[in-house]
Amino acid sequence: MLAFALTLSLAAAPPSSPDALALVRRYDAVMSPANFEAQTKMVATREDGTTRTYKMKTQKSGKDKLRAQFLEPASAKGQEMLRNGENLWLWMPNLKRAVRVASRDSFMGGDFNNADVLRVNYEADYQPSIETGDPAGDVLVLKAKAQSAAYDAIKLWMTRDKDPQPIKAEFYAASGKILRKAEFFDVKDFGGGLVRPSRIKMTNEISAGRSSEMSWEAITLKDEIPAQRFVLDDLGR
Amino acid sequence: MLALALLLPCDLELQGSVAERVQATVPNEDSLLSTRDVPELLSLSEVNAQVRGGLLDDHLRLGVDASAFLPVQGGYADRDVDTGQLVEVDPDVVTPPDPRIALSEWWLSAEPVPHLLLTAGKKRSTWGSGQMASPSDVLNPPRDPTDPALQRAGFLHLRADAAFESWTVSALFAPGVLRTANSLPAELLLDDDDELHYAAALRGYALLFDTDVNAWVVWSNRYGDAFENHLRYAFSLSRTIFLEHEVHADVLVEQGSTRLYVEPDCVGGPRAILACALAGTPIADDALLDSERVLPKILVGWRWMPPDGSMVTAEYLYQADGMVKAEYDDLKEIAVLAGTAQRSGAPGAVALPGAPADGGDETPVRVSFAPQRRHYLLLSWLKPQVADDFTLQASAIVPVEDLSMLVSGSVAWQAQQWLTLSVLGFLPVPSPAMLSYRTDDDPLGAFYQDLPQDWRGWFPRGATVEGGPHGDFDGGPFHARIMIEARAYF
Repeated sequence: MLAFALTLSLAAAPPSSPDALALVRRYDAVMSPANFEAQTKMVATREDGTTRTYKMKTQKSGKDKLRAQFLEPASAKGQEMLRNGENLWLWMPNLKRAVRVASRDSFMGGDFNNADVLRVNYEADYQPSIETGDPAGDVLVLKAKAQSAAYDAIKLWMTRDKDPQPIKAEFYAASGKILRKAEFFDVKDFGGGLVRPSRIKMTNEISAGRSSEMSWEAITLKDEIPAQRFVLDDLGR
Repeated sequence: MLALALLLPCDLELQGSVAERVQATVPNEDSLLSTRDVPELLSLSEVNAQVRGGLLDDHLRLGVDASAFLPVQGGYADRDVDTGQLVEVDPDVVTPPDPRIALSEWWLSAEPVPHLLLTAGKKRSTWGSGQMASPSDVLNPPRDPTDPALQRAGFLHLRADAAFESWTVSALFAPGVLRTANSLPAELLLDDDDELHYAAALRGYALLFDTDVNAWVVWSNRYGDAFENHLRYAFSLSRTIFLEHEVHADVLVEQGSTRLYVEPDCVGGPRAILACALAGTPIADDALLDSERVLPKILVGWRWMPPDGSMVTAEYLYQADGMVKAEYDDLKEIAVLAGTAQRSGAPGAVALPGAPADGGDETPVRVSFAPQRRHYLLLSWLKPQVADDFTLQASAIVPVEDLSMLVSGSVAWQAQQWLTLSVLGFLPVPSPAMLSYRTDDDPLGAFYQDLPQDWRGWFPRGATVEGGPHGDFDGGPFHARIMIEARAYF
């Protein structure tokens, strides 16, 4: 009975409870700062235990422009992905042109989708609310504002301290079925005041045994990245 | 220019692949043209190297895409004129292809001021949105519709782009390359008769309401075709809808056409051809070259990209200058005569109007295709990550007017991250008209004859020539072709 009462008192958030919108902004700020260049590695583990490794360089400008250039493996080297607002393109070196791709497509065949990597802007894409009863941290419940969001709903756990960091997340389809789970590891100081997890492990809940881990080797914050790096005609150059 | 650039302080990256393709072809005894030059077995080895990088602290960028090809081939067969059966051809009468180097791209690019991009060299510039075919693409070498993921070769040009956040303006000048030596231009722009060969284009791009919109004009003079002082208008759109679908349009509008049509007076057998020869009448003529008729080419397409990574594409191509049945009948009849002449040992090569180009000095295409008729359906399907490492692909080119088709399929296995093993097959499927002809009672033919005259045009019919009706792919050089390819990346 005491435990039940305690739960109730925690669920009824006091006026000093964290603000959902502020927490979403905090997540966007640490996981996807406005202007940066980064070296990233993704290791995709398949059902048979074998792995595929991809290395890429990413550049981001503002809230909705991102460019990823693949450096490894040799079979993917030269491929580039560009996001501008709602639009995603893939530039293929053997095609010498860009084709549009869907935001919910798998990112390089791994367990992240394109939007997970290229479209981290939860404030724009989701309506947040907060649950405070979980001892693991504050739980943000994010409901998609539009169909163009990567998922229909996300539950996101953030640490309950002065500078909240993401701990884990669950990603849901419209039916309520869980699609993926993410865990955030190794909070690291990347310089320029950016402190954030340097690894995310995404587990595929549809295909048992599959997971992908994205790790950020370096992130350099920039005042500005020239706008012409985010136009179609610059791809493949 | 490029060699000089390589002497500058640079930060270059090399990547590429080594590939071996073994190809087996089953010759078609019903082929309209001789198959004596078509090898039954072909081994094609390729070393591809792509260099890309920055010079002078990235103020200059360069790109090179070069391949060396070593073809080895053997086994030839052709139809015997008397018996109609396939017979072996003496390999000594066939000239096998030489090893060659293809420079698909070599270019330098600079950004002297922000937003202004200057590019010089040989580079692929694609503004059309068509996937398997692009009617607006009059500058790049022709693409292989069965292999939309491998189109590397560009064209020589100078280009300036003013690129901003959601719009770009481009200007381009392309001198015609009249002769190459060792894959490099040896003669360009001006021919022996002091005629200029060039194309110039002005293009605008905008990302409007989440739609890629391209519009451009091309002014050309004897650039890759017989048009002189010719203006073309081109337009393309591409947009994602309902998250998983992409729709596109790719349009070329011009007056006249360079397509060669067979002169009807020359059709009717060897005597008619002889009469044309004596009268100095060309067998084929670009009759619409100076026409003021507006003859658009329009491609509309749809692509479905479900979350499993697969892709389904359907495109429809309309060519206003494409051949109607009577014109196609004439072309096929001339093809039959040309084939007979070839098999009888006529000297010199026989070139048919509109025959597909072999790509010249460029990368060899797997199947060449030059659309002759008015309506085509282009279909493709791709499914990656089957059992993690396999990619399945299938495509079909369907001339709507005769419903013959060229079907291709492939299975690619990514055995290692650096190694892909593929099996590819190509199968021409006869038109219903051809199948009907081959049966004794010809049910389709009887059905067709019973139709009211006005309705007949609505039903697919191939050309009616000696040897039966022929659709686009009925009289091709092979029954089937299979390829096995190993490609290792570095």
